[in-house]
Amino acid sequence: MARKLINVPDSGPSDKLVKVTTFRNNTRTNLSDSSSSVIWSAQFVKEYDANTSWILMEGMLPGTNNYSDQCGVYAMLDGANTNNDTPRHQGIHYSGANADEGWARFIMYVHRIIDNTDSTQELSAGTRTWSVGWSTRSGSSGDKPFEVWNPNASDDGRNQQYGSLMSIYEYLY
Amino acid sequence: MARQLFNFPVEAAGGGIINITKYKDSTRRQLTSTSGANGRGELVNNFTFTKQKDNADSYILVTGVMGALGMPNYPHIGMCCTIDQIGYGQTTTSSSAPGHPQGMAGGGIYYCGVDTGSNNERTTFIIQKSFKEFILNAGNHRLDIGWNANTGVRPATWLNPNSSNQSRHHQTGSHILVYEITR
Repeated sequence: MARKLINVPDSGPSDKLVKVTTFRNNTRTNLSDSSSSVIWSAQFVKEYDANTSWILMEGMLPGTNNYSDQCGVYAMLDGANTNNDTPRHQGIHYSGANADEGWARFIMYVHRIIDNTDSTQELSAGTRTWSVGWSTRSGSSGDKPFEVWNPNASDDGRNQQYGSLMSIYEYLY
Repeated sequence: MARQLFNFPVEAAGGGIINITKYKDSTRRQLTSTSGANGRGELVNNFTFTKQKDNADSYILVTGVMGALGMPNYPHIGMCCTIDQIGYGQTTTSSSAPGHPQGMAGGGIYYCGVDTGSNNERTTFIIQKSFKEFILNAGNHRLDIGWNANTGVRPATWLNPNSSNQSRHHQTGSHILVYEITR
């Protein structure tokens, strides 16, 4: 009864979205050979704790010039389990043309659901760091998903400057 | 009554995400070459979710990524993504459905990669489909993702590859979200 008296609806619309934080990067970058490396990383603020909200990392990173067929790409928040075969390697995949040429295009697509079914340690409230990169399971060095991230006209004269987008969605359970 | 007295609308403003159902699949498996409608659930088969509101109040949006290896057949083989098996063509009977989806089931999923049967090469599926035109009332529904082609084909060989395919792999996985959104 009190809720009615102080002006709170019985059942208002339920919106699961807490906030979206978006990031852009349009700097052409040559990736280095390595067994593991971070491609892109930034910070955002998560409003609620692991039992209240979960995260969707959704983004796309364009590349060019093939390199490693496989290299263990990942998308994660700080605190993630970095052992082999852990959830940070799921919800992310890349593919492209099989040629070491500037016209050989790659898409790295991120759609990772980070929730407390398997990734509670990534979901604390506060300032958090997200990252996308690779880490080969075998420890193989000299790997990377493609040679150039965010290609431009220096890779192929027909290109404009390409860029990457990442959106961090915080949703209520 | 108090709400009206204090100037709060009887029905609050609409808009927003009503519910989200998550699909995670990290099981490595080999895809089967199929023809006709037999392939329509090869990627996601009968994933059940519950819609909370009737059709007049909300619609469904599906987004996601699925990872695979190899591309043994031509890259356009009638990919489809649908709910409640709606829109596969002239019939929804798997044994008699026409070769390619002619209805709303088609599209909403696309894939790219190297046109080869080699399991060294990667194939990426991207899913982004609005079901705003579908009539979906409250209750349980099923999501199916796959293909419907006129010959026995498959878009990739291995779904969710891992180190059994190549030692540099970790276990990969497919992540899909089913959004229920206010109209």
